[in-house]
Amino acid sequence: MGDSPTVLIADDDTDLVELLAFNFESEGFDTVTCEDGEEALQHLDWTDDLPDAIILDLLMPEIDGKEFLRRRRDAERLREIPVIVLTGVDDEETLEEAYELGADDYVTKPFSPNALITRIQHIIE
Amino acid sequence: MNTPVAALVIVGAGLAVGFLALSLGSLGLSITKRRADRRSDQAHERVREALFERMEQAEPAWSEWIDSLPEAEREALSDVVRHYLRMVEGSQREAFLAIANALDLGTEAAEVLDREAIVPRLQALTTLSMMGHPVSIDRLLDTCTDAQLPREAAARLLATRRDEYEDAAAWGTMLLVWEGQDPLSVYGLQTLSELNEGKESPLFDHAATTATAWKQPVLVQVCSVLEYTSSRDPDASFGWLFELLDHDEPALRAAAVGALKQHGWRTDIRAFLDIDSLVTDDASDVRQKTYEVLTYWGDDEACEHLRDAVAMETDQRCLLVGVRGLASMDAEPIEGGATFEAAWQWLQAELAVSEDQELPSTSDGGTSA
Repeated sequence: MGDSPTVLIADDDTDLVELLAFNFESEGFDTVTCEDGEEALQHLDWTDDLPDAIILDLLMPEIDGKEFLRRRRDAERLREIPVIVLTGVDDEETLEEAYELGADDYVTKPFSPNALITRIQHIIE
Repeated sequence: MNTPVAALVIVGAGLAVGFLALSLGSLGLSITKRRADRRSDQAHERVREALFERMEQAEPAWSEWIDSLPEAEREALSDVVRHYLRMVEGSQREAFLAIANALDLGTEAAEVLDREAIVPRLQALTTLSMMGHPVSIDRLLDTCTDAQLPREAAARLLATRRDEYEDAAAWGTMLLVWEGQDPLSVYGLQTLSELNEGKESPLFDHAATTATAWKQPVLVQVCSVLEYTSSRDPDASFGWLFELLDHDEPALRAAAVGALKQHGWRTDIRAFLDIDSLVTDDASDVRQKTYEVLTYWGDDEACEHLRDAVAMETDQRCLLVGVRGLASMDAEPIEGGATFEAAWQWLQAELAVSEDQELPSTSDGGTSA
């Protein structure tokens, strides 16, 4: 990967992942896409180029977003990568739990792709 | 070969041929479906990529592109666009809305309302709601009143596009509660609350004329919605709620008390209520709900009622709700017996855990521990 910032997108909704990838790539980001938490963790395990930020769905098959956050918290090399949770779940309890597990931001669907990109840019800077 | 053996052989061969034919048929169907799914997935992927490419163009010419698409790809594009309309807000949503209009998804959805099957109608109502496609109230009443789910979806459309309809709140409320026989889903309750928030509160008027025919679960649900809905309609009808306060069923009495929670500011309603009767109700659920409401009102009069009630309360759960209320009002509770002491200590432990909050003094001058 080049000098562009990289965003890892983990979501089982392929259409949404592709839309996010399209938007981020249009803004000069590189993207890595994963269908669930397990694939995301596997990628992070063996890559040398860690992403600059992670966009994470909470409800995914295999390893879900919460479990991903737990494992990230336990893995020193991943702990510093900011994670934005992007989810359709908008109850307070889930939001609080996500923050407690180390999420840096929480965005609910429907969402503005432009606003999400701005948040990521702000977090990375 | 004798006759019975021959018959058995023929039957066996027939069964084997039948089984073989069935297996081949199932296999054929499975292969055909798999091919169709694969074609559909490929079409989906193709149109999604083409869609993004066009979105980058200054003049994407959506109509021309859509007209050039074969049926399968047009269908796939419709699915993708409907999905994105649900997911996306902001400026990009406008782009998807333009494509949805070019695909004529609104007209298509309006036609689907005539179908008998419920699921396509629900999907159509969602599309109409997302697109703001005009559908008359009469059309909604003609096509969406046969079951609770389509009624709720039609009400949702009215709530979402409230500004575009005359009396949207009243029609939506009517659709949601209907004849009061079918309990509402969480989705329906949310819509009912939204439609009755603020100056308009058609739920009160609707209940005033029809609540006597509603089933108990619906009445409880409606009261629960009112408990959490800030209706500010000075002309709202409360008579039906006052009648529920005397109902034989404690769950309904408690629900009716809760429904008055947001109306403590109305002196006429406060004057009508017999709080002494409510705080001595035989049912602990009614007393507990009354304590919650008094706590919410939080003025001197409510505080005085709560202090007196807590002093006499024997039910531990109610007592805890009462002392919590008094603590939140910084009120001095009247010391009771051992039950009071237990509730007070529990509250102190709660406060110590939640935040470093000081307790008000009890009547003997200390902060009971």
